[in-house]
Amino acid sequence: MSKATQTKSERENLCAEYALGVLPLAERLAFEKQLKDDADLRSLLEAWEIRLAPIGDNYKSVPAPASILSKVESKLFERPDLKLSWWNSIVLWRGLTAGLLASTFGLLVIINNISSPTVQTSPGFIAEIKSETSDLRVAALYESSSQTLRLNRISGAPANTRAFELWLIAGDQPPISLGVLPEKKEFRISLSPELSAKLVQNALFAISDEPEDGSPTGQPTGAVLAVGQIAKI
Amino acid sequence: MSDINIINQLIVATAMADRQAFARLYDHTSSKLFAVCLRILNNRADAEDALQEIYVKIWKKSSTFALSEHSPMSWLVVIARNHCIDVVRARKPISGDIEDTYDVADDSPSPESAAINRSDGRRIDQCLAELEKKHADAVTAAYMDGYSYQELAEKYAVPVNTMRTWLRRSLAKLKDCLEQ
Repeated sequence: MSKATQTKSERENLCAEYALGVLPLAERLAFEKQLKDDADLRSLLEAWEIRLAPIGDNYKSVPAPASILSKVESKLFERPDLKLSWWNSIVLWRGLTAGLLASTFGLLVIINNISSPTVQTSPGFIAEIKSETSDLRVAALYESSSQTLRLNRISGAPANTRAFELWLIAGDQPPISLGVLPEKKEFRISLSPELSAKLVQNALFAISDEPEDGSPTGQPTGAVLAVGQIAKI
Repeated sequence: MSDINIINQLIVATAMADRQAFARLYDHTSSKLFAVCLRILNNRADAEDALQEIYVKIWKKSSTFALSEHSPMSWLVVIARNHCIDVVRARKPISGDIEDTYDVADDSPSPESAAINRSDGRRIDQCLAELEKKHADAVTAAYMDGYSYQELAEKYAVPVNTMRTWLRRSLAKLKDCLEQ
């Protein structure tokens, strides 16, 4: 059933029943499908989830086996197909580099490399900062020679009155803001030597949803929308 | 720092792909979510499998938490309940021997509805107490045990449509009461 053919009270009932959990499987699945592209329904549902949540305080805790955490971690972090995922594979990165550079930064960088006397050393780092839930995708390239981070927002735009803020996360340190992404798609950021030093293999870039002027606290305040791991090129 | 704040921060850190925070989140919250799994799935092996899947989902969905209005624990419980209910609904269709599995309707209150009748001042309990007792019991049993309309109808020995009417009306009254 679509939004157009459902009355307000039918939608309200469905959300209440889904949140309570009483629907049969087929109706649950149909509802979940409808939720995907019906933001109004999602907020109706969330209101019901919040309304009923206090009933769940009656669940009495039962210690869970610690072994489950390690199973979860190996599923998430150590699955062979994840290990081989393209951003972790330096070999693949090197192969992709030419194509990605050509498609996202034009030939400028390659020309830079050719004219650079230090062409034999690593020219820098590259990352694709990508959302799993939206079309937000930003390519990042850091050139060691000029300490410049070049960014190209390939797709995705912030919500009205919101902005994308870019963060660098190195190891266990709190995220460091690299600023709010401008409206134009291609832009550069000059990094201080201190910041450049934090760009190390396996550091992460992240993009969060923030107020138009950026996070007021200096730390991400909105949802983390996209993440990308840094790899040497 | 309160538990809520700790769990809040751990979910936000998990969204930033902080694996240590994720492990601490498991330590802080898994006993509650395991209770949800055991209660709804009623089987330890299935509950352990479900708990694994639930934490995989929590890792993957953690970036959406900041956008929601949920308190951190209720956000986690929603993920756990939805997963368990999907699992339990996908099990083989309920056979005719439901009477062997579930207590037939009786008048003795469940532990939760007994707690509600004592009314410890929580708004949800006050509102549930305004419903007819068997309706409040059915709402609580549906939430806590993950019963379907079908199961509740058999438990209370009424047709499914009657149960649907009971619960829809009860939920609408609950909403009105909670919004007063």
